[in-house]
Amino acid sequence: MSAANPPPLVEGLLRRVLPEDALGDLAEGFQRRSATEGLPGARWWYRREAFRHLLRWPLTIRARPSPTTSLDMIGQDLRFALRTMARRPGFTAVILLTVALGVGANTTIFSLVNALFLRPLPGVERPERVVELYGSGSPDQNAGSFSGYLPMSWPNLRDVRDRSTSLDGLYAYTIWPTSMVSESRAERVFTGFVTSNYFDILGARPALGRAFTPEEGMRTGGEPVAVLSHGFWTRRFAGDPEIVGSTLTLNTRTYTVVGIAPEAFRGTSSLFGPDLWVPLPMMQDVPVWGSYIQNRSVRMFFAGGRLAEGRSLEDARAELDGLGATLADTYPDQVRERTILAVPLEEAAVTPNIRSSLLGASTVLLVMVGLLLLIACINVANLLLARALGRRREMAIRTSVGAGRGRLAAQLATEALLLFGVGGGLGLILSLQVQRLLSGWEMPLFFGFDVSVALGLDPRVLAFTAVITLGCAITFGMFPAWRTARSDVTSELREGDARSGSGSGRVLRGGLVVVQVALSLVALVGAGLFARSLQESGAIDPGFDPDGLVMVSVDLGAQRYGEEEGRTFYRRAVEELEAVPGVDAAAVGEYRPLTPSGLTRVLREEEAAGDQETGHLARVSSVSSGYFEALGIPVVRGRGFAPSDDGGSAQVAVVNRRMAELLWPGEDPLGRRVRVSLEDGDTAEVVGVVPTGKYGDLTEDPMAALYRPLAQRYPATATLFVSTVDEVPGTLPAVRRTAQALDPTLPLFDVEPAEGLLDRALWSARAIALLLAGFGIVGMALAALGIYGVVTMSVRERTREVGLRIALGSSARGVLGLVLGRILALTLIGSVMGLAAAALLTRPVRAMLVGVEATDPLVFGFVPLLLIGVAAAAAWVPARRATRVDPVVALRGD
Amino acid sequence: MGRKSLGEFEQLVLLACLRLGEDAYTVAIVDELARRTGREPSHATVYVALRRLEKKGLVDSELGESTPERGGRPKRFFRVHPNALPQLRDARDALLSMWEGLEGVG
Repeated sequence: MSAANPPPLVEGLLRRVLPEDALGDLAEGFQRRSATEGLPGARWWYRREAFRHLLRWPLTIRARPSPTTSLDMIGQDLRFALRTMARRPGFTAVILLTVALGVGANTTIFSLVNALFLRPLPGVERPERVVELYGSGSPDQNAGSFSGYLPMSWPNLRDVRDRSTSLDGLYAYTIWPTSMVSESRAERVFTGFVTSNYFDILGARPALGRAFTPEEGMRTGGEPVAVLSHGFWTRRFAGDPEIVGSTLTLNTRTYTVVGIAPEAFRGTSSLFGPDLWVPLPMMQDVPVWGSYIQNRSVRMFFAGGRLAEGRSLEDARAELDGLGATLADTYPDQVRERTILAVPLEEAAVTPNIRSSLLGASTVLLVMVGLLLLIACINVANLLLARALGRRREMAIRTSVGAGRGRLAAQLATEALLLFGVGGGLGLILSLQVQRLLSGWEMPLFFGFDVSVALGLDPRVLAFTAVITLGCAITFGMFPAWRTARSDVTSELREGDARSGSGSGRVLRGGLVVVQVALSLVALVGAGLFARSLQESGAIDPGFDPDGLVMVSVDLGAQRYGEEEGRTFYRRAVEELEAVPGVDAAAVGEYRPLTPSGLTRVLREEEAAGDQETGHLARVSSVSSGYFEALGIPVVRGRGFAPSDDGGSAQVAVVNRRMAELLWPGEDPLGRRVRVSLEDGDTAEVVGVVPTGKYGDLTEDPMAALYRPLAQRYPATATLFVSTVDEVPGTLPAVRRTAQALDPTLPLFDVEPAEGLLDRALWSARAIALLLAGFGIVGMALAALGIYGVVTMSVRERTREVGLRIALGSSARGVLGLVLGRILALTLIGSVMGLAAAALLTRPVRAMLVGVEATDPLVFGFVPLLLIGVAAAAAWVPARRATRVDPVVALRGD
Repeated sequence: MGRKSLGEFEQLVLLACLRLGEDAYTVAIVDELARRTGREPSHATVYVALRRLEKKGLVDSELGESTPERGGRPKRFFRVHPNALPQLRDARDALLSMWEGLEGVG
């Protein structure tokens, strides 16, 4: 038995259609070709043969003498439709591809929208009764860079839980990166720290094992236990059920795995879920933040609860308003939020802070993709119309022998439905493939958390596909059928096809061209604007020099390094790394550039600490003495840090220009002193100024930044920066080895060149620009196809007229001018309409564009020219054919 | 295509069957046609033609041996029915008659 087998799916399909001997013939042919042409060639041949067999299959069915029942008629129509499709494979393929592209694109985008906004959270029972709670207020030193919907502090949440009657149980959670060691592999995972009632309130029943008990949620005597997420369990532990009961190490503490979360459950966010959950008291293992749990002014936790039976959302909101006000009054210094917001889980599933912008982006995508479908359908309608007209005589003859106009229309309708149906099905398959790719794609959206959306087949998505396919089939496919049913039979027979087509037909086709051009123009303008925006984003100066810069991050706190050990580690790291060949300089910095972080309130020395209204929010970070040199940040006034700036010497700081402007507008900042809020009593002298760079992301407004020497302000997590002289790919492994050699048990995170930062910063701009460019190009290609088809038909119909003109002495150029002139006029009209529409439609996206106006003259000027050029090119070939018309043949007609 | 006249392809298939004698099954017919006409038809085309010829009563078929190469499936061997021979001959005569005197063309 030969090793190679024909493609199983195809063979399975054929088995329903062909007898054993025919299958054997194909198998034999496959084997032979495997030997001579190789496996790919053989498979290709097999599939081609299968396609042919399938197309011809209806012909081999024993046909009934004459259809009597409606089922017979449908069967006959189907057979005839298949035969027609088989006869013109090129034509059929174009239509199928066009429909597939249009439907596929729409299904994909809809699936995204469905996953983000429509689909109920998997694994949550009765999600409509669950609400998420947020504190409401402005960004603050203790809450990080959120805005509007803030986490709350543990003591506040405890009070809400104890006093609330409208909520039946409250859960709280927060997610932090932790370092996990399992089976002697060290890696970073995201751990959800949750109250022990988390799974119970949400109604998420573990797939294996159990969730947490109240005892495990207690402060003291709590056993370290963990519940793994289903995805993490499948990915990391290959779905081994033995993992329940075994142990793993998180931040050097040993945890026992007690359960696996239900499949697809990710917690209360549709965007991001932790890899595992542990009881909240384990937060004490998370350095720095762990010690702030009992602090009422430190807002660390997100929370939610289930509405008590018989209570409504309004009840809960009213009660929470009161509670919020009470808490703010009772603890005026510590509690800044005056209101507690309750958001239904379905809305909160996409973090309220980014929901509106995601909604906006999704809408743009839906519109674009809808336009694409419209263009595709118009094209198909045009093609079907053309063919229907081309078969006018055939139809007329059939009508005259009694076929009945209704039957003809039914025939055409069947063809249209079949084409759209198959095309729609193909589009669905295409979309599923794309979705599978997108699901695995992790979008670096915020806080270094990689976000991904789980896409897939869903009854809602299927329904959507079916509806739009049917809708398009009826609207665009039935139309030629309807027109045929209305056509005048006798006049068709008498005139033959020498007439230039019915007047209304030409106008209609011309109108379709205009609409297609207009739609393509809108799509291309959108693409152009975002491309320009991307270009502008790329030109933004990030404030440091990424060339040859390599970064390695470490989390010393997670490995229980003390401050002294940590400082030693950083010092040794810089020394060892600078000794690596090819390395120019090494330094340590608390944060990576272009990565969001928490902000801290910075005050002038004379301002009182604790007064929440003064001072300015800034990015405060600790850096080593070689930091500015290593990152290529020039010190424009004063100096950077020196090794002499250590724990024993005077406290110093370096500020950026923005910080200087905010604190001492118009004055020289050197020599001034600042107070960093959480460190009461300590002030530092400003010894240097650096330019204002980009700290959180490329498009942020100028942000204030303040730097402190590592030796004077110790960070438990930091990044090692290595500036290399040689090509980065060569030095990266050496850097990694050297860093790992410092402490083999210390996990190293995100070892990458600094270009990666820029890539991620531009990621979403690039993704959108690419997507829209893709749409724009496909739209333009479709419009060009449409124009080509229309002109071809037009030329064929006007053969007689053209022949006459040539016979009367018109030159080739004259004929060309005739044909092209009309197309160009139509394109011009379409362009003008398109420009007007684009000007209107692009206004809402103004906010998403960087450095570009919504009516950018460059884009608005170039795109119409491009379209006119493409239209002319598409019309050229068939137009030239017109010049070769033999007047004798043309005038004779037929 | 009337009921009493053969299409061009059908003629070719019948002739291939006659040439192959006992060994006329689809794969061999395809090979023979490719070898003699210089154009290789698809299995599907030959298959459909053979079925049509069978329906018209111009060929008979019977199942034969199976081979591992065919996944253990039998071959179907076709034999030209005597009814077909007059029609083949008519077709040939018609073609030759039309060609008479035109040998130098092309």
